[in-house]
Amino acid sequence: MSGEDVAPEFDFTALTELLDDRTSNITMAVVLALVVVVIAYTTVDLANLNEEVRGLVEGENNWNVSFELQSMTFEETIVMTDGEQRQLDFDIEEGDLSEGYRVGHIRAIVSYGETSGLPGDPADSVAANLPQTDMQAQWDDNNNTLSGSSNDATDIELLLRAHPGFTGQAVNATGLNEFQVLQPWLIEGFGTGTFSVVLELNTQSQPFLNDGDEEIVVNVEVVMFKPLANEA
Amino acid sequence: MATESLAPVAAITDLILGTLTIILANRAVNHDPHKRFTALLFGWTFIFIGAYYMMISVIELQYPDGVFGWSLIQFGTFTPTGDGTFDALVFMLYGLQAGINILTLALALHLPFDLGSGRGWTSAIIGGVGAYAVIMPIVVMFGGFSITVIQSIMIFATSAIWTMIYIRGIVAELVNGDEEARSASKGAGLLLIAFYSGTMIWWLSTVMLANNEWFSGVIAQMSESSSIFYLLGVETLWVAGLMPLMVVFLGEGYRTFKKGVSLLSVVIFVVAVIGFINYFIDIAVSDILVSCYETECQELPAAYRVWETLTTGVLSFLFVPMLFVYILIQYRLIDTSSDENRNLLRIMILLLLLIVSSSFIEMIQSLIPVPQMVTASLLAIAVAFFIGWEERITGWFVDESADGETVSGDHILAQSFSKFTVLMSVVLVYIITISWLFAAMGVGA
Repeated sequence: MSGEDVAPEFDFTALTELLDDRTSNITMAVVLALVVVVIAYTTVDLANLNEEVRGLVEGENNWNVSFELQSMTFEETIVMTDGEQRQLDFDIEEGDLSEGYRVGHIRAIVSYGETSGLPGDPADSVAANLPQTDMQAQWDDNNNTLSGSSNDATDIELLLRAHPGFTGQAVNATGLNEFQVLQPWLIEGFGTGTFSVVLELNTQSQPFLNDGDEEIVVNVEVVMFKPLANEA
Repeated sequence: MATESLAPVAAITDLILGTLTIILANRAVNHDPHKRFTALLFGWTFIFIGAYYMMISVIELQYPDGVFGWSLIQFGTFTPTGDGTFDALVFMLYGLQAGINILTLALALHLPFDLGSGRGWTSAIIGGVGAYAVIMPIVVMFGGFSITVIQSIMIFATSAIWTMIYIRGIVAELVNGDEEARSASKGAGLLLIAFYSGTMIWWLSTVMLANNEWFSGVIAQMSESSSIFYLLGVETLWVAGLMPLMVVFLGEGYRTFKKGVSLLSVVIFVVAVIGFINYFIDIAVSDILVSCYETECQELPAAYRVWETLTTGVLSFLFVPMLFVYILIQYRLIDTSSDENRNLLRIMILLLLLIVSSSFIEMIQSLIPVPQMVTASLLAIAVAFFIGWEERITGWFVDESADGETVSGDHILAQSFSKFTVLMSVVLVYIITISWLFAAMGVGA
């Protein structure tokens, strides 16, 4: 085999031919120049966005969430007879809440006195409880007081937590921005619907006295809150 | 509205096409060796793409609630989850992606024509493909997944080669009057669409920076700040689609004005229009795209998913395999002269058309509540049409154009074919093995 028959190790003639047309080369050069421009301005834009986003993500993300409070009250006075059980229903509508407010918790105070006015007549016995209704609330929260009783005419205080996590106290939170931090406090639907208080009366009196009924006052306070976030 | 994923269809289609192409390339001993080798490259590209979609399908099936986005692989935003199987599947995707990238570059150096030749050329190509496919997955797994964007340089280089060939061909045809040069520009244009349509359809979003807005949402979820080189890699990837889109669009626009429409011009116009609409869709959902750091993460609307399936999904999963087969046959990369090969070719074309049409009908049914009886009838019509017109459809794919003449190259030693087949089989097993191994070892966690 002669030396001329041996093919070279690498031959880039085709590549050279591809690049031997002036018009094509100029066109490609213009295209590449435009590509450089596009890559430059898109990269600068993305770098700015990256800085902005990382600033948010890695920045100071501790927040203090405080609450502006408002309350709405219902009061009902009833006279119950001995051995009677009665349910009082209080309707809390979404429309009753001020703009931006959510229901935090609902407190019910049952109060009564010995109204017979007879000397030596002991206070009656009253039991109260909050039965679960269709209202969305934290029915299983350990801090609830869903039932209570009194036989010395002291007030019975009942409490139902409505909004998850709400205790009335300011809390610390973490998040990228105010919107995210406030999200857990802006859930709608908690604490609206029917709130019921069930009362049961058992009068106590001396055998020769006739004390068969009692006046009971039920005060319901709906505590509403509006969350505010401040960077800690 | 839940839309059916087209990834399993693409996986089956590509794996079958890949296997048939490799068989056809290996058995055509009397065929032009350069074309045989190019067909082999095509076949292995099919296999790697098919395996890639198969992994995607397995992830979609096994982890339906997981969030698995394109950016996870392409831009390396993955963080190991600790779930060995999931992590192994994602590692495999990185490996397969590296294989697809190097095979695409090798194809660009061979098709429409061989840019190099000589005694060492094919060996260098085989060695290069093997070395890259072995080293790159390891680099990505151990170097931090974001390092995968370094491959953008290669992706851009491949795009630039075909763009240059397109420009050369279109200039020769329209300026110098060389009619034969159309084969080169058509081939390069179709290959660009086949490999870059996924980024091409975001061309206007790239120019108008809407892609950056989308990517800022991705950045927000990354654990560390990204370097300028990483961001440069991200933009290079977008521009690798933008550049050929603009060039081919303008070239075909001018050619259509001068000579009328062609398959390439129709396809590029459709892709350009989809890209145009996509930008305005980006604007419409921009609040959602940045919601993860501006407010809180929100789901994209169902209509967006439907649009994405009908454009990106259909284009990438159903249309691209058809385009591949068209190029494969039109440029005579596989020998269609013998009866035996012709029968295999018929099977290939009919299989492709039937899979694509039945999947498309199923997909339409998942989007629009069309009764099954109607879609079954439509499928029956399609089957009857394909069988009745089988000869004509095959003929259309195999028409006697001069495109096959364009593909030319160096002589290749017979043993190179078997060497390459063995090498790529080993690479495939290697990628699967190291992915399982390193995922089980908790690499990257």
